[in-house]
Amino acid sequence: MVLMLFVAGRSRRAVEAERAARSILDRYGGPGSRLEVIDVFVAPDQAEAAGILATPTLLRVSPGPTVRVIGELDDVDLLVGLLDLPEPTDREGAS
Amino acid sequence: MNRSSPPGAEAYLVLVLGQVGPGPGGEVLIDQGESFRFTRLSLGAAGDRRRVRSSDCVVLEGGRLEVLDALDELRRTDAAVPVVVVATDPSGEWAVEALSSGAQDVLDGGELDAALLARSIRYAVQRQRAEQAGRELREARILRDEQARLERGLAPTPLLADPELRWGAAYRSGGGRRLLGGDFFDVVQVVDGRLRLVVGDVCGHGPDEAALGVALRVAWRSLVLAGADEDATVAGLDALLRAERPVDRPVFTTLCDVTVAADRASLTFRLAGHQPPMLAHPRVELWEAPASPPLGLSTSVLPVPSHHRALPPGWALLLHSDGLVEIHLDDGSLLGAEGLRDLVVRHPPHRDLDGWAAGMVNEVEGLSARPLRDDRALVVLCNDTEAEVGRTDGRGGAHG
Repeated sequence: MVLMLFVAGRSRRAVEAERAARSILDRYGGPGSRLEVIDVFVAPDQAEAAGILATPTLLRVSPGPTVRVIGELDDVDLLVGLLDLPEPTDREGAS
Repeated sequence: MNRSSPPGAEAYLVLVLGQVGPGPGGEVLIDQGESFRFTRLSLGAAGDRRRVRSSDCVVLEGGRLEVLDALDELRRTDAAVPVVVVATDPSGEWAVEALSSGAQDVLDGGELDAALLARSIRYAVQRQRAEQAGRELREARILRDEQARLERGLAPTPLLADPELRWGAAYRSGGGRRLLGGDFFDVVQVVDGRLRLVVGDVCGHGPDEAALGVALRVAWRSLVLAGADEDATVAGLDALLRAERPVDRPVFTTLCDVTVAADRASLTFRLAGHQPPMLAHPRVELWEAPASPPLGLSTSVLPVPSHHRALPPGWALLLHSDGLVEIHLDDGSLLGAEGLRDLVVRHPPHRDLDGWAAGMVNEVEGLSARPLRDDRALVVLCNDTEAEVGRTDGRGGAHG
């Protein structure tokens, strides 16, 4: 699974969003899973190319199709539903 | 619980029009327990009426020229959807321009915070809803006042000087909004003591028909007060109808024109496509008579033939519009004049003639198996020399 998180600096919301994203990867990500955190102040072109409307925005890039969740990203259970992730199963390799 | 929505939250449907086109997946903004579901389209889709109308809010993302063009397109869709602009270039110089072109808010998109975007959408939607509710309330008030004015014009206070005469009336408009029809009635006592009565029905519903009904009713009263005889009165109404009706619609009018003799012992009536008057007291009688075609259909129907009937002492006379007899019953049949006659037999006129008229209309409405679209007008006139119908309510006489 590949997640991308677009944030604007290190605000409280950005920190909470990153923590939630990592928690999701821990529960649902398999081998090769990763989280890319992009600061729009540092990489505005990347944000523009991705069509980021507001921050923070979390993208589930893989598996496709791309799903975006914007705003309050601290509720892991809610994010799991919005990102349309399967229910957790016992899997080897889950981190 | 739906896993993809916050519990108990309202989902705003937001159309995002920007340079990034639609993606294959979903996009949702979460803020304060509410969700905002985004659908992305390219800016050029601002004229897509169906998509715009099905949204709670439109977010326009772009620079000055693109946004102003899209606002112009949105205005042409006639959709009452609030618009929030997310400016991709500094908006300080053109924010006011965007606001005056219909945007509810303009946000700088460079480092847009999700909470700010959510708040702007939320406020824009609520502001739009409040404005819409206010508009609808104002329209409802205007419509109500307009209908009340028209009803007063269609159902005036009779001009009666004879203290032996009493009258009552009930008028109900069709039902829903803008369903006021063109039913009208009037009663005038002329200087030689005769009574002139009329009930008419302009075909169709709506303010145009109601206004035409008022015009015909006022014309009828004017002609009667000016001394025109029955033939001249009916001919005058026919001419007025042809002159005043909409040029693109062949509106016609049914009419029952009645004259009661000065000694109150007889009457004559003329029918142009209308039901005859009914004797409601001391016995109930349907006065069958052939009707000429309605006014406004042909120039060859005039003069309308008259019919003569004797009146018993202590009579009560009932005139009504078609809407009171063209009532579909549960068994599929029509109430008809005979059905109305039977109702009058069961519920004879009593002292409170307005109350009796309203009660009769209620009875008829209770029998209808379908929603009532036609106006229902009923007027009852009593000559109370026998005092059988009573006179304790203080109504009648002394008008005019």
